[in-house]
Amino acid sequence: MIVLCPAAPTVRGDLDVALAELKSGSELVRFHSPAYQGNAFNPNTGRKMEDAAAGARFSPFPDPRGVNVPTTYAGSTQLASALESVFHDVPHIPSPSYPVSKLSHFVLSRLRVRRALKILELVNPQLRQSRRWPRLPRREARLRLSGVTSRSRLTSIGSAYWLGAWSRQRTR
Amino acid sequence: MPAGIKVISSSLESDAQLGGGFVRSQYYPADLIALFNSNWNEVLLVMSGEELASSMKLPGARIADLRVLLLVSPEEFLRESAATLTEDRPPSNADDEGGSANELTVSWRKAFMRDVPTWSADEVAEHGGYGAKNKSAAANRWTKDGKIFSVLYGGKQYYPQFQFRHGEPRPAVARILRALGDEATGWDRAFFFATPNSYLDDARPMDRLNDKSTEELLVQLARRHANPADIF
Repeated sequence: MIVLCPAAPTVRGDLDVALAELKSGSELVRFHSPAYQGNAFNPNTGRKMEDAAAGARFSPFPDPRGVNVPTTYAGSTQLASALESVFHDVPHIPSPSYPVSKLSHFVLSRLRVRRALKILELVNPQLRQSRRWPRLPRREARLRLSGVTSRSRLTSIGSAYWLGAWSRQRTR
Repeated sequence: MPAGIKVISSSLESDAQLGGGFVRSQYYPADLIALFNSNWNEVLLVMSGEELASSMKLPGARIADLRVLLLVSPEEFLRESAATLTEDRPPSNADDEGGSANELTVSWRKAFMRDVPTWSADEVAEHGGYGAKNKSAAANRWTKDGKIFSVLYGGKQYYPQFQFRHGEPRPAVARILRALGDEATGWDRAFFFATPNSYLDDARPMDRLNDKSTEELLVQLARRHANPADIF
């Protein structure tokens, strides 16, 4: 069976959106392709949201014009970031193996947030994996969200952040 | 990997009994750094929270809830596992096409050879109905054409049987091999085909080669395996 991205629930006016703030000066860790600078967004060129294996948890997805929104993944800790990226595809089975040679595909960047970012916080585990979520706040453009965060139940691991470069496009 | 499970739980048990220190923040980031600095070149063992919970025999709801993988300190694991694995090692350690394989890699390969049926080059020719004159010709030609792959084990080439249907190479295999790229070694390829994949409901790609509707996804997954950082 091909696994497709689950759809976000229908948006109603009373949807309770939990907002978090990523404070100015916060530090983030990011594992990424050396093709991009540490603070660059992956343009997700040529990928389709419908293709299950074409992206990561919250990417790719198109903006209202049909152009994929550039995205970046980061974590508040090295572990949170690694789990979301380097080890993203490791199967949830007992004692999985991971080829260490794959590590050489990633570089590590440490980032500092230069202005406070408003982040949509996904608190319901069932809603944590969908490429449709980032489209959700579109009708509430005034929120000017910068991304989505999903906090581990064990907070010492840290939070994973997904940031989209779409707020600028939206407010034009 | 039974040896590994024992080592991991014992290294963390004392903390867990004290009330859940197995995600000690100083522990995992340090391990990650160790990974990047280590000379390891193949397989690292990681385990899920659920697995950890069951191996520690803890009332594990809290641990089992952990939807993440726990990293094992490579040095620690290697030190402990070397003692248990050394005796079982195949006579040749030159199975990784040039480098020297570490213990964990050797044990992964051994498990692969045990669990996945393979043919020798001669057997490939026999099952393909090719003549006896040059028995390795068929396997060599198909390998050269990128239609099949082999793994080097104990100094010999072995051809996983899942690549064939009625003795002929499955067309999907050539597409997947192309997507895995020219730089992939035989064992890299074997790893992709024989590892449960979450995009396949944790089935192994080798088990889905019969399913035409999954072929495109398998090709995508192979590309993703070859270029894991591209989406980040």
